[in-house]
Amino acid sequence: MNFKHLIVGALTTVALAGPAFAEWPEKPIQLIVPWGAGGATDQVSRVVAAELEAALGQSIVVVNQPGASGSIGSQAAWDAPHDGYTWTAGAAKDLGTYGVTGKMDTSIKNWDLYLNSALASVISVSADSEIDDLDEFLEALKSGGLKVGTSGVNSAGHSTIEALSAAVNGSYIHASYDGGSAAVLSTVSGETSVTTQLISEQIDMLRAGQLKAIAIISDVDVDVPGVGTIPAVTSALADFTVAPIYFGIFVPGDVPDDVRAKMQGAWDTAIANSSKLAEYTEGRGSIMTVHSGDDAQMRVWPSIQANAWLLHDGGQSAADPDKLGIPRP
Amino acid sequence: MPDFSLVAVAFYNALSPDQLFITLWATLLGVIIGMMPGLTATMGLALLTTLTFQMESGSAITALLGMYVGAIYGGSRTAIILNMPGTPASAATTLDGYPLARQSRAREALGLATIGSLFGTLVGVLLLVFTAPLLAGYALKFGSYEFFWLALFGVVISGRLTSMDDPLKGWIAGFLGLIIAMVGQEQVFAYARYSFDYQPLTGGVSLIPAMVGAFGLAEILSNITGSKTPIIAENKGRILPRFRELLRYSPTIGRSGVAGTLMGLIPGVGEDIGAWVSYAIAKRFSREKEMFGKGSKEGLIAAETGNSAAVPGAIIPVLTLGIPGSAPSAVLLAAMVIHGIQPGPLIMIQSAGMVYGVVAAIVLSAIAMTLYGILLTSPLLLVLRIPRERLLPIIFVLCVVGSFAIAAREFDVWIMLAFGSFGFVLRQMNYPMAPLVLGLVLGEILDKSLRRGLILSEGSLEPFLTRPVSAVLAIATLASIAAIAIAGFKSLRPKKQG
Amino acid sequence: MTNHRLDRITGFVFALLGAWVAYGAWRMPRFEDRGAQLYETPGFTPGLLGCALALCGLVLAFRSAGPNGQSREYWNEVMGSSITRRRALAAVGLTLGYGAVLFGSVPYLIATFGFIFCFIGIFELVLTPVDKPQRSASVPQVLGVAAAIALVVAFTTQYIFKTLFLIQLP
Repeated sequence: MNFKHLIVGALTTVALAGPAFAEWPEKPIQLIVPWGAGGATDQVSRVVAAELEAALGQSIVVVNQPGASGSIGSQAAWDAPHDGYTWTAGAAKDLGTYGVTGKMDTSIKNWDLYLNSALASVISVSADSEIDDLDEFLEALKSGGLKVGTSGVNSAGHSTIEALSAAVNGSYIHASYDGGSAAVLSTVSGETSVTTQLISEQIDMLRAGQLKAIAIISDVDVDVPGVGTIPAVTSALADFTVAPIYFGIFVPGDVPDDVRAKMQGAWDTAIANSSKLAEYTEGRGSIMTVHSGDDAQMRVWPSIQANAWLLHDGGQSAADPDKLGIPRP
Repeated sequence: MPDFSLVAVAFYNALSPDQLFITLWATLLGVIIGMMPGLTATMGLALLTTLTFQMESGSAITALLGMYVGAIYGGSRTAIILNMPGTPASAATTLDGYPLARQSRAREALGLATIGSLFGTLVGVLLLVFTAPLLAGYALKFGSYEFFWLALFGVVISGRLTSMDDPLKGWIAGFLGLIIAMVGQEQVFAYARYSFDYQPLTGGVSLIPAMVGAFGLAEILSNITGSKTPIIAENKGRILPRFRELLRYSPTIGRSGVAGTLMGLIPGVGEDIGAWVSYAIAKRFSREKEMFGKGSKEGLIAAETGNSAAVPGAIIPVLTLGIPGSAPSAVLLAAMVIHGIQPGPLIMIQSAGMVYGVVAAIVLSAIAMTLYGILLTSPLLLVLRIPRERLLPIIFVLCVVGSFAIAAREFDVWIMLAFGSFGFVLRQMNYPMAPLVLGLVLGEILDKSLRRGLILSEGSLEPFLTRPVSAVLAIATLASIAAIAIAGFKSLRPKKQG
Repeated sequence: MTNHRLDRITGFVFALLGAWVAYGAWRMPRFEDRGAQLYETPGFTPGLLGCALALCGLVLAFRSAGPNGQSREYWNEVMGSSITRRRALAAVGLTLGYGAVLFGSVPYLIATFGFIFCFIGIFELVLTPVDKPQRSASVPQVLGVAAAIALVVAFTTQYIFKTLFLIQLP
């Protein structure tokens, strides 16, 4: 049957005719968002992806691969060929601590980081709460029994309350919810008394007066449009380690040099000057922080160190951070 | 009271040629995505969010709403014709839709489902316009304790409804689904349950591949195994139901519309539960209970009204609280935020016009969806004429690609195959697939809200039974279990000798 | 095998499965060192669910026969005759072969073409239904139609998913 051979032959040619020696990027890039569609990571990644599409002249396909605190999608991006056509995204401190929690055998140093924004956690209580300021809150934390809603173990909200509780030697009841907005809602509805989620997840409720901001995890007071000035946590806890959560796009570090050069070029021009990203970050109460290369590594390191040791001291680590090259801060 | 001049302006804007064009193509794309097994409303919305990024924000939101309304409706086409729900929302539609198609009444069933969806959307929209702030308060009443009962209630009711003669088998399927939902990392200690150190399992079993397997592949296998060619009679009957008939079903439509909207409102509970709850209520009130599951028109209308009403329902908390009511509406919320629209408690004060814009876009896509429903019926019925030996392999290819498409993971294809082959064996012994899939949806909610509730109450069961909404759900669930359990234990007789 | 007998066997299988799930839940870490209460532990819910499944399985295994308990339809529908047995086996083999083996290891177009071609060929030529023992079409005709459908479906689905929906197929 010559005809059949012909068809199979033609099919093989079509399917195998691969790209050869063309300049990157000559086919669509896959951006794996390791969290669900609609979440904080998903939102900012889609904004950045659309801006990069224009800068790189190639379409970027966002794929949501949620599961296991984002480690499944990150692993998938690592397992794909390191040719610059598969990226992942998320919070740098998550990627940096997968090794400590044993979810994925990787280190932040294996990745090229392209940071786009930074967020701080805010301590908030419901509008009719008896707690009015940071001192009263810390008092309540010391005496124990506060119900705290976060989006789960090792989330930004959980790390914050763990660190606060350790700082004043207090205790609390921890309730984890599906995502930051559900945790924030639990405080609004009164099921929990405090939330320590990221500012972007609380901003609407803060603006509407449904939540009362107690303090922001920052070393300076922050003036948030539509909310007012939120006092810094260091006003009562002077030596509290403050490390913002950096979000970005992550590419395996051993991609070809031309990929890195082009990405850095696009990042420093198109993203750094992106009005869409500026508008988005302002609306969500986050800070636009466009960094790449060594600069980015240097910025995220303190939050990774702090979180790795917080996890280790809390008995939640699978490996000693020291052995993974993360010294105690 | 809504400001009617703003409503009029919103409709005037939505009827401008370019907005109308967007509604038309987005709704059609939604219907097509909804029909494909494996491609869901959530995925369609996520895809369209990226594609409409450069559009002006109003147009982008119009496109997304069209996609949402179209996709939830589109799933009913596949459910009726092939006994495979195109999206999880149309699982309840298969119960009466497919039997109707088997009785050569596919044309009627497709028409009824279309009208049901239209009215469901309209009921939901009316509730959205008149009572949104009030209903938002109701969504806040759902805490951990209520979610626990709702999850248990869902599985118990679905087990009973889908396996009339033998609820025990429905419950076994439901518990299997709940147990499979336990696989993967849990929330309190981030411990990976039943994952056997295999990384893909730490993320758990995803719903869509499991559903495509349990309904799609299992249906393909049992269909092709039958050694006799199924006889397909000429499809008679009219597409659009008579007015008199509609009038007769209007109480069902009203009840299902309200039930669907209320389910849509509750954060994390979406169109699929909306359909199930309104189906259960319709059966409870029906004068032809025995027809349910055997081709009841009332059941079909209830399911389709319920899931479509959940769409505006799920959008209510998006607009008024900034909290999504369902998975697709979470993507809608994200898209709004990306486009610089900040939904939340202040929206009615700050930008009521935007809210009515959303209302107008939903109403117009519901009308577009109805038109497509009528126009597409005849071409869709041609599918029934393709010999199964040729149709089934094509559908299987769609099942495989659809499962893969969710997250570009081959693991999901294996999940689909496993659910398909075991589902085939279980179906042979009259185990319904719907509670299995629903158990998978609700398992995580059940686990998290049970343990979170106990953590918050410091181990006390009291709030599970004393909070008002909790108490109602608890009584309904326990009564339903008790009625069947008593009958079940009566059939346990001591073993006879020999 | 009667339906009642088959139910009894599956009842035991579910009871065992439920017990195994509950045992797995019991073996899960309880995080006592971190002050966890019983109701917080990862095994709490799966343990309850495992027991519930085991209970349902036991009821199924030990209940008396229902109205259609003595009928043999569950078993006979697939395993009853050699033709249904062979059709079921072929269908499972073809779908698993395509989904688990070919898809992902062979280029999409070739895998899909091969699967559809074989599926139509086998079920229209070899394992024909009992009520249609003679085919009206000749063997080359059937194979021609099969090849045409396979080709069209392979290319159309690739176009729809890859180009329109931007999904990277293997």
